[in-house]
Amino acid sequence: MSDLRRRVVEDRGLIKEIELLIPGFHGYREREDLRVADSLLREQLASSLGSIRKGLERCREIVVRKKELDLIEETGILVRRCSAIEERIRHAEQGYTGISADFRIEQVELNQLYEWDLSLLKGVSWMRDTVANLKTSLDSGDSKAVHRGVKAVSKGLDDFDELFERRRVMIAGLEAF
Amino acid sequence: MFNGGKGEPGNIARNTYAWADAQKGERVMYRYPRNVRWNDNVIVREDEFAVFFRDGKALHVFDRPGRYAVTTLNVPVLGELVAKSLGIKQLGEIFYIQRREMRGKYGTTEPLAFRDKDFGIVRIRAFGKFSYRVVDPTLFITQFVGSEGITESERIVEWLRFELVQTLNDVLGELNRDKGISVLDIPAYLNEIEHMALSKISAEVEAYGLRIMNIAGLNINLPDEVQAAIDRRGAMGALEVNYMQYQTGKAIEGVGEGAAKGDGSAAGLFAGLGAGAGAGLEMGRAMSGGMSQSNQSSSVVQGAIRCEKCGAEIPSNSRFCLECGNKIRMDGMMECPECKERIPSSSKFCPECGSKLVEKCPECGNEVRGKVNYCSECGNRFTS
Repeated sequence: MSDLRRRVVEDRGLIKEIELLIPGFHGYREREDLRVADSLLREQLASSLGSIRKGLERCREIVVRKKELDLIEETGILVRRCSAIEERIRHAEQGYTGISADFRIEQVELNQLYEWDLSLLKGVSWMRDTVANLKTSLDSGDSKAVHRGVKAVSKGLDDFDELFERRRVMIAGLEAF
Repeated sequence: MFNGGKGEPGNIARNTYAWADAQKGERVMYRYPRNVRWNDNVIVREDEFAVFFRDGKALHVFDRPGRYAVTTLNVPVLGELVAKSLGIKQLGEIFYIQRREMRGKYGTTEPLAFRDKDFGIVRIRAFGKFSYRVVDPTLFITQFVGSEGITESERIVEWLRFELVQTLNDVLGELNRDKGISVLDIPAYLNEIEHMALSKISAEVEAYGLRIMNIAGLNINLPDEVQAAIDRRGAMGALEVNYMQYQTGKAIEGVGEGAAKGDGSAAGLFAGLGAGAGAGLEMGRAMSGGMSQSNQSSSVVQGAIRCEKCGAEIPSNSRFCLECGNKIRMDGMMECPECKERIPSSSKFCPECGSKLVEKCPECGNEVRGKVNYCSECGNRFTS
C-alpha cells in the first residue's frame, strides 16, 4: 500500500510549489497536504467498511430468503450500525486549526492522525473475515455458529466505533485522565 | 436556482455556477438549464455531486468539494467556427445531485389484497416513511436521465414509492404463504417486515445508483369491518361467551344506555328492554344459524332461564331478573375472588374485573382455579 502522504506531495502542481516558497504559507501548505492525504485514507477506510456492510447485507438477504424471523432484525441492525460508522468515518474531522486556536493541531499531530487511521484498516480486515464466517454459518444453517457470528460482528463494530471515537481526543492530547 | 454570471475582472472563468443551498430543499437532482461552455466554472459543495455530461455521455463526476473548470470544444467564436465548418458542436451539461439522505413518505394508493386464514380476503393499507440517498451518481444519472428520460426529482420519488409498496406487498404475501402470518400477527412483525422490505428493495434500487437507508414507521391499517370483527372476537374471548350470548349482552347494554338517556320511566324502560332483548336474540339466532323451526313466538326467549321468584324467562347470562329484579342464582356459576361478582365457572378471566382465574402449576401443568396455595394434583406450593 502506498503512503498517500508521499503521493500528495508528488502530485503538487506548480501553484502549490510556489506556495511552499512563500514565507508564512509553507506550513499551511504542508498541513493542508497532510489533511488531504488523511482524507483520502479515510475515504479508503470508509469504502472498506462499505464492503463489510455489503457483506452484512448479503447475510440479511440469506436470512430474509430463509424467513428466519428471529434473525432478520438482528442482521438488519448490524447493517444499519455498519452504515452509520461508515458515514462517520467519511465525514470525520480533518484536524483543522484556526489562526489563534486554544489548542493547535500541528504537523506532528496530523501525521499521528494519519497513522491512527491507517491502523484502523487492520481492524477492517478482521471484520471482513468475521462477516465472511457469519455468511458461511448462515448458508450452512448452523444456528449456534450464526448466533456466535452475530455477536462477534456486533462486538467488532462496537470496538471499531469506540476506537474511532477516541481518535480526535487522543491526537489532540485533550484526554484529562 | 443557480448562482451564475460573467466572470469579474481577475476571474479567468467565463461563468461560475453553483447550486444555491436555499433552493435545494427536497430536490434530489437538478439539471442546469443552460449548456456549459469552455472554461465555465462549476462549484461543487460538500453536500452535492456534479456530473459533467458531454454529448450524451457522463464524462466525469465531481464528488469532492471544489471549483472545477469544465472543458468542451464549444469555445466562444472558435466553437461556432468549428460547428459551421465541420458540423461539430459539443454540448456540455451539468447535473447537480444531493449527497445527503433524503426523506419521503410512502403509502398504498389502492388497498392490498391479503389472503387471511381467519378473515378470508382482507384489503389492507400500508404507509410509513423512508429515507434514501444517491450512492452512485453516474449510475443514477445514466439510468434516470439516460435510460428513462426522467429529470424531475418528484418522478424519482414517485418511482421509489411505487417500488416500496410493491415490495411490501411481496413481503406480506410471502410471510402469509410461508409462515402463515395472519393480519392479527402483523403488528408483532412490523420491524421484521421493514427489514425484509429493505433487503428486498436494495437490489432493485442499487441498479439505479440509489440506496434506501431506512424504512420506518410502518403502519398497516385494516378495513373498519375487519377491525370491528377483531374487536368483537377479542371481547367474546375475554368474556368466554359465544356470538349469541355476546349479541344478547350488547343488546341489553344498549337498552340500559337508552333507558339512562331517556325519561327513566318504568314503562319506557321495560318497553325498550323487551324490544332490545328480542332484537338481539333474533340477530344472535340468525347469526348462529339456529333459526328456530318451532312455532314459538319471538317473545319466548331461547337459551333462557327462569326466574326463581316470579317465573319470568330471562336471558341465560342475566344477573338480575328483568321482570322482578331478583338476583339470579345459577348452576355452573362461581364467585370471582377479586370483585365477588357471580361469573361462569368455566371463565379463565373475570368478565367484570378482568382478574386471572386459572393458573397453571409450574410442576405438573395442572390448571388450578381461584386463590390456592397448593396444587391439587402434585401438592406443589405456589410462591405467590
